[in-house]
Amino acid sequence: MDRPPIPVTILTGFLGAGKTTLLNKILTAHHGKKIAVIENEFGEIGIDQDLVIHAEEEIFETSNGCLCCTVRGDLIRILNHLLKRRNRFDYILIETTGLADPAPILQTLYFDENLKQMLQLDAVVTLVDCKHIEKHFSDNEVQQQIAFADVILLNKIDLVTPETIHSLEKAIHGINPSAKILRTLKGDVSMDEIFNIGSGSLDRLEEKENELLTLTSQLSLTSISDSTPDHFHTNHSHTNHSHPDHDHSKCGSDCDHHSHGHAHPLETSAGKTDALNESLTDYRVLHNPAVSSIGIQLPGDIDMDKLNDWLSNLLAEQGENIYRMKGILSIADNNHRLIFQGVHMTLDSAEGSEWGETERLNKLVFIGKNLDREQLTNEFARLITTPKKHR
Amino acid sequence: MAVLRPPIIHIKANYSLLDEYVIDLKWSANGNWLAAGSASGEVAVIDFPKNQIVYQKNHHPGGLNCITWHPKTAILSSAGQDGKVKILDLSDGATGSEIKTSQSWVEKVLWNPKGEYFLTAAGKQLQLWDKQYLLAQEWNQSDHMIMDVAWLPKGNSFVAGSHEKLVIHSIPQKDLPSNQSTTISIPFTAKCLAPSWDQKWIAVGCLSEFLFFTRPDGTDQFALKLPSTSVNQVIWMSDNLHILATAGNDLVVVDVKKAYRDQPCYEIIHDEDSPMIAMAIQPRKQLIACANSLGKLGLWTLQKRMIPLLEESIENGISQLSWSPNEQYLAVGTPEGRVIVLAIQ
Repeated sequence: MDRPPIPVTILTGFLGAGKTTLLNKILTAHHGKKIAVIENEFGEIGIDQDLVIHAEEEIFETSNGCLCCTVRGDLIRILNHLLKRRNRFDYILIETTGLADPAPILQTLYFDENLKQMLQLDAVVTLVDCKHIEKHFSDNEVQQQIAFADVILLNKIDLVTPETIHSLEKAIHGINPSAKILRTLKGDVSMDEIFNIGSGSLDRLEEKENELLTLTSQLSLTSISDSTPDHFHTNHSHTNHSHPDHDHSKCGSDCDHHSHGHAHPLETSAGKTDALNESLTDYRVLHNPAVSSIGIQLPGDIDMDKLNDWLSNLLAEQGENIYRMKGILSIADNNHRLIFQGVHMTLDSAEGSEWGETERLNKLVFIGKNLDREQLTNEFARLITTPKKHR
Repeated sequence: MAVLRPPIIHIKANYSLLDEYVIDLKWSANGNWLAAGSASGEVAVIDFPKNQIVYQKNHHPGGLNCITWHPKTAILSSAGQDGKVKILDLSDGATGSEIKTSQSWVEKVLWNPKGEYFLTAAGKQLQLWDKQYLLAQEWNQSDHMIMDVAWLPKGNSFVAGSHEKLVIHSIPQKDLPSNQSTTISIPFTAKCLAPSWDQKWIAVGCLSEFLFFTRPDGTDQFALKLPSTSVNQVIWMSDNLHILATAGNDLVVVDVKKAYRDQPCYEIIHDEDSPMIAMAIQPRKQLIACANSLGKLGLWTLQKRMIPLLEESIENGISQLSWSPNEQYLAVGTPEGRVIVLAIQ
């Protein structure tokens, strides 16, 4: 009688990014899924589906004193009602407004006890309009939609140059290195790329332990935003840049000129230089460097009580700035992995498989705003009771 | 008097009534009619003494939210996601009327205990309708959607709960100024409401893990933290001293007097397997029925503590429970649209 949780995909993206076009493609594609759609606004383009529910977005704090702990009151009712008709669908897709912060939707899935048991986040899919994103790239809403994403679709790639796309990809990677970035034209994307991601599944997180290991290896040395020299220089100010006369004499040895999104004549094909110069955008200028990812990778066993205290304090003080986090931890006197993930102050955790002969390596990733890598790493290191050497 | 011996239970009737999940199930005041509504919008009525299905129709193609009987007559109302209320008079050959209340889902339709007015709640809008189905009064909340509404037992006023606020509205009466409203700030989001039978307290089941109590004038308030978040249902027992709440996998029985004094005050019936989906209390004998979503039905009585009397299992799950007014029958709705009537002796 027990049924698996229903996967939920959250589709975000600024107005005009192509959400409704993609939504209709999803609904008409041959994927064998019966999808219930919750849309926030009646779009100009009709949705070709019989189970479409219109939501009146209502966000409110969860009354625990934390302003970032917000949920969608309308979604609680709609989802609870939908679950009573679960024979009619096997997948839920929530389309957000262009300006929506995905956090209240994610927290709604975790907050309500019934919903938590019956639904599971499959993915946050964010559509980016490559042509018009530059106007909004530094907006909080865009940064949040990118930071929360599991899959990012760079749409309308025919309207910009390859260099612009590359530059955009790098900037997005700087905010959220764990998201899968795909280039799309008119929302054409394989359904396999956006379905069955299992973002909210702790089991799936454990299955992807090697990916987390690689990611935290990169991020534990330095945050991606800091380490992507062509976009997020730390040694010199971007205010000195001017295009197209970018002065590379100021760059350090780590400057990867060929990865620049800047207009470099040498990087463009003959005859198209001027046009490209006009169309290229320096996303490092537009990027709000405060939004970034931080990874921690440390061997040893964690004191569970200290971990709880640390997380409580951390989330109380910085929960608003921590958009998403995930990790696999080694807990002292416990042979099993502790798998966890969270959104702002909402945490979900479960005991994973036994460590066995594998190295008990703690791996954590934080995506958020104004994160202090040194502070987080040092504080986490203090939780370790039995430091071990790397293999 | 509470039941002390284990009851004898047998299936009195079993109806394949609706096409989908039974979302609401109610007996008429005289116990002659049993109405059920499905999540798909269908409404069906059983003439119980004749054991006949006398009405079956889809009232709200987008989905149904609730049904309610007039407290004295055979008038049945249903509220749906199409923003409409459908009214059916069974005494008059099942003649129907329809009122369009709102663009939003009509979450609730409720007759006042005297049967003079019915109230609809849709989005941020409350509307009061008279017996001729004419709009008597309307209230619009500017800020948040209404999560639940409940009439106070005397029937002259009702309470609407939303995010961090309860508002008590009085209905129009002679010699009293209309549009009298009292706003009570609360530190939580109301999810479900239950005024006590003596009207001394309003209990608020919250979206978080709290049961909140306030006097109707807001002068005295206290909160009780429960083990699970999101309180789904709150019912006062007739003694006005105990309240039952379901949240997550728990049924919680609270001694309100002890809760007020900040003393240990509640007992939890925890179901290991699935969320507590429904709860119903006999009006007089106070036999408590509860069910989980997997179909486990429990009957309990409250002496000094909750005493289990019986446990039964209904195949393919339970979605709703409703005691007949004479307390002899327990109607059980299922997720696949069946309605089973159990005789309890």
